[in-house]
Amino acid sequence: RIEPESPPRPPPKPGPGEHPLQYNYGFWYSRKSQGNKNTSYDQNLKLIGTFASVEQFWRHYCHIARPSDLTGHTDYHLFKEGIRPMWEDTANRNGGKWIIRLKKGLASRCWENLILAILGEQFMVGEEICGAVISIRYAEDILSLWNRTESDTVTTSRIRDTLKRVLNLPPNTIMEYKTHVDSMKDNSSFRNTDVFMR
Amino acid sequence: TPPPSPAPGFGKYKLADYRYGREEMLALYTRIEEVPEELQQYTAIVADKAQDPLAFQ
Repeated sequence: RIEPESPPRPPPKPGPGEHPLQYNYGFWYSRKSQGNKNTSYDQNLKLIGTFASVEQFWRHYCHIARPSDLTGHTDYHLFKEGIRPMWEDTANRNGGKWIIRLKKGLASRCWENLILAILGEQFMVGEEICGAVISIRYAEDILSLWNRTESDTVTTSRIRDTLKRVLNLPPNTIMEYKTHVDSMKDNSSFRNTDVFMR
Repeated sequence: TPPPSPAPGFGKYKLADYRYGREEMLALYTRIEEVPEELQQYTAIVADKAQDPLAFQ
C-alpha cells in the first residue's frame, strides 16, 4: 500500500504568545496528473503544511494561491492532523460529507469563510468535523465538509445548518450528502448523492 | 414561562476550549511577506506576495 507523501515532521506547536487552535491541522494539495491516468489519488496527494495556532494558519494561508486562481483538476484539503483526506482513513471510514456546488467565481470566498469557521470551532459538534475540501473543476467548483459519523443525523443536520449560516447561502441552495462507503462503492466523490433543500 | 427547550443535540458536545469567531480570526491576521519554508517547494500554488484575507476587500 502506498501512503500519500507526508514526510515525517514534528507536530506543530503554538509559538510564544500565539493563539492556539483546538486541533492541529494539515493543509493538503492534489492535482490530477495529466497524461498518466494510472497515477492513484493518494500518489497525487501532498501534505504541504501543518499549523497549531491562528497565527501559524495565517502565515500559510496568505502565501497559498486562492482556489479561484488555480487551473485544472485541483483540490485543496484542510484536515485535522492525523486524518488523511481519504475515504479509507480510520477517522473517515464511517463518515460522509456535505457537498455544495458553486458557480465559478465563488470558490475563494466560500473556502475562506468555511475554513475560518472550522478553525474557530464554530460548528460545535465536538470531534465530528474531519476536514474540508475545495475541488476546482471545469464548469463548477465543489466545496465539501467531511464528518466522522454519517449515521448521526442530528449532528449532520446541525453541520448543514451551520454550513449554510457561515457561507451565507440563500435558502433555496441545494445541499447534497454522500457517505464515504457509497463513494468507495461507486468510486466517485460527487455522483449519486442524497439531495436536500430547505 | 418555562425556559425554551434546547435544540436537539444541544449539550451533547463539550464546548471547545479554543473558539474564535470570524472577526476574532481576522483580527489576528498579520501580513508576513516571507514565504514559510515548508511551502517554498510547491511552486505551482505558492503565492510569493502575501495575499490579505478576502474578507478585507
